[in-house]
Formats: sequence, structure tokens, C-alpha cells
Amino acid sequence: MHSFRIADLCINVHGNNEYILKRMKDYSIQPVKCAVNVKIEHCDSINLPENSYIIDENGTLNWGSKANGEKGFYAFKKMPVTEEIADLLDTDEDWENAIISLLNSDIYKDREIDPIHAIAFDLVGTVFRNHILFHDGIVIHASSIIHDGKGVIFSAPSGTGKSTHVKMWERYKGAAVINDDTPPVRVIDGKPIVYGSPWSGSSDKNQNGKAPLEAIFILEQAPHNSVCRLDNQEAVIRLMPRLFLPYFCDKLMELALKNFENIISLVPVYLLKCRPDKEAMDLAYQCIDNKKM
Amino acid sequence: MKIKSGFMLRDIAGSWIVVPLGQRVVEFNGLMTLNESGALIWRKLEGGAEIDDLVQVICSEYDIDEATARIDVEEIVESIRSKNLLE
Repeated sequence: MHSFRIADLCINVHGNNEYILKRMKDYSIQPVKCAVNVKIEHCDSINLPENSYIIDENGTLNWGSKANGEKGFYAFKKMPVTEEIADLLDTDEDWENAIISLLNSDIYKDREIDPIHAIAFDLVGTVFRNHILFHDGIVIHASSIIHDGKGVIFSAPSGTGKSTHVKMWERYKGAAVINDDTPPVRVIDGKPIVYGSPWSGSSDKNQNGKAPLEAIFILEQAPHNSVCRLDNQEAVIRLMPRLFLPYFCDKLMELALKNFENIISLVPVYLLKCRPDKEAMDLAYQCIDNKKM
Repeated sequence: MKIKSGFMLRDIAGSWIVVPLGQRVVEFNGLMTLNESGALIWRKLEGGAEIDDLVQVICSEYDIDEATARIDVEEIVESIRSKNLLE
């Protein structure tokens, strides 16, 4: 058993999977009893349990809810062509006890990273990002930094230039990127906190850190740099599509939206229309530094 | 007229937002926001209502004449219909 602390929540991972453990190692702690237990199993074949289908998204995860009076969910991914189940997540409704089954297959043996293992790692992240909903938190599609002890989030649709913008903060301000893709945010004792986590997209840039979340910037490409603070309505409209929301369950959705609302009420949200240059970073920096907006 | 099942209307920090659930997320790609009267109409449409019913609801809730209410109702219903959210 391996214990991890991510966003001040403890997760135990049972069963050995070198790839998953390696990706999570910076969050490792001494073994402790944890509320969340994820068991990793390697199987020669995976049968899909009886479920009522909820979401079938081509190319991404499929979701089902447990049948026969059992409470909880299944998420699974099929192999291309053969349609065998490659990865299956089986969880209770509180996202505390989960089993992730991976198909033993040598189909990807020539690849540096076996996508079946990569998906299983992402599924541990799926457990985390649903469990955090029970702890006043939510995961946002964004890049996040800590600078001078202050946490800042930069969010935008993929391809807008979040990572490029954040690189300026690293280069010119010595900021630390704690998560470059999906940072968790929690509200603890009325204070919003942004955390590092191991699930950090293609750049995989992450650090096990945390800081009070001082500002959220929505990035938008523009020919000239400018920044303005958004009112709550604009902030909700711009940020909602960037949240990891539990579309498969109305009760969890209520929790997620409540947590999001809480964060919005505590953290200023700015629209940063920007070029990929230092001046844009300076503008954002002034906002946080002066809080004069 | 009735709203399709699988949508949730919620007030988030003062904005009424329509959120899809389950398989609806695949077919409804985007975000729908409603103002106060739009949210009132949505709630009535969840249980099923016709234009005349909605006009009555708006007239009784707001200090507004029937002709103006009808224009507002038709506009909001059309916006909901155009997003393919009616059965």
C-alpha cells in the first residue's frame, strides 16, 4: 500500500503499478489510514459489469451507473478496433473505495508509455477530482503558479497560450508552476487554496505545493494587452466551461456548483486579453500586486 | 411545450445557468444563461406549459402589460427552442 497526500486529502493506492506510483511519487507520505482507497488490478480480460449507461462520449471515457440497487459508478475506456475494455473504474458513490482494472496487453509494448497505464493514472485522478467535491473543492482546467506565496490561476480554452503565459512568470518572476493543466482548489476555513497535483497534462509540470488563491485570470488572445475585472455573471460564464463537472450525477453536480460558487465569491476573476509577451505578464502582475483593479 | 429531461437550472452567484446532465452533455455543447424571468419560464416549462400560461405567469409576477409580456415570453421560448431543449 502507498499513501499520498494531494490537496490535503489522503489517498491510499493498493497494488503495484510502477507507472502510476512514479507519477505520484512527489505526493507520497508515510503509510496512513486514508478515507480514499484505490485498488489497482491487472487483468487478462475485463468484463463490463451490468450498468445503466449514462454518457457515451466517443474517444473519451464512458460512464455508467451501477445497477441492481447498488450505488456507485463505472467509468471505462475501450481498446480501439477490438472494443475490449482496456481500463475500468468501479467506485462507490462517495468516491472513497475504487477499483481500477487494467488490461494486460502487449499491443503497446513498443511504446515508451503504455496508454493503458496512462489512462489508469488518469482514472486515479478521476477518483481524486470527484472525491474533492465532498471537501469544498473542484478541479479547474488551467495553469497555476505560486509567486511570492500567492497562488494564481490562468484559465482558457486549450491552445490559447496558458502554458506560454505561465513560462513568462517562471522566467521573469521566478514563479513556480504547481500544476500546468488541472489544479485543484479548495475553500478551507473560508479561504481559497490552490494546490499542486500530479495530474498536469502533457507538460506534466507540477509541484507539491499550495498557496492562498489570490486571483483567477481568463486568458484571451488579442492584438493588444489589456485587463479588466469580471463581474460574477461574466466570471461564471467564462469559467464554467473550464471546470471538471460531474455530468454523470445530479447530486455531485450540485456539490460541484456550490463549491464553484463559493470560490467565485472569494476570488477576483480577471479577463486578460493578451499577446504572448512579457507586457501581458506585467499587467497581470500589477493586478495581483496592487489589487487596485 | 415541455423542457427535455436531463437539464438542471441553477443560480450560480446571481446568474441562472442551464447545466446538462448525463448523455445530454454530449448533445448540448455550450452554456445557456437565463435572466430572472427566463428562469421563471424555464421552471414552468419543466412541468409543461403553453405560451398563454407563461404570459399569465409573467404578468402576475411583474408589473407589465400582456402584449409586452407575450413578446418577452415568445423571445425566451424561441431561445430555448433554438437550443433544442424542448421536447
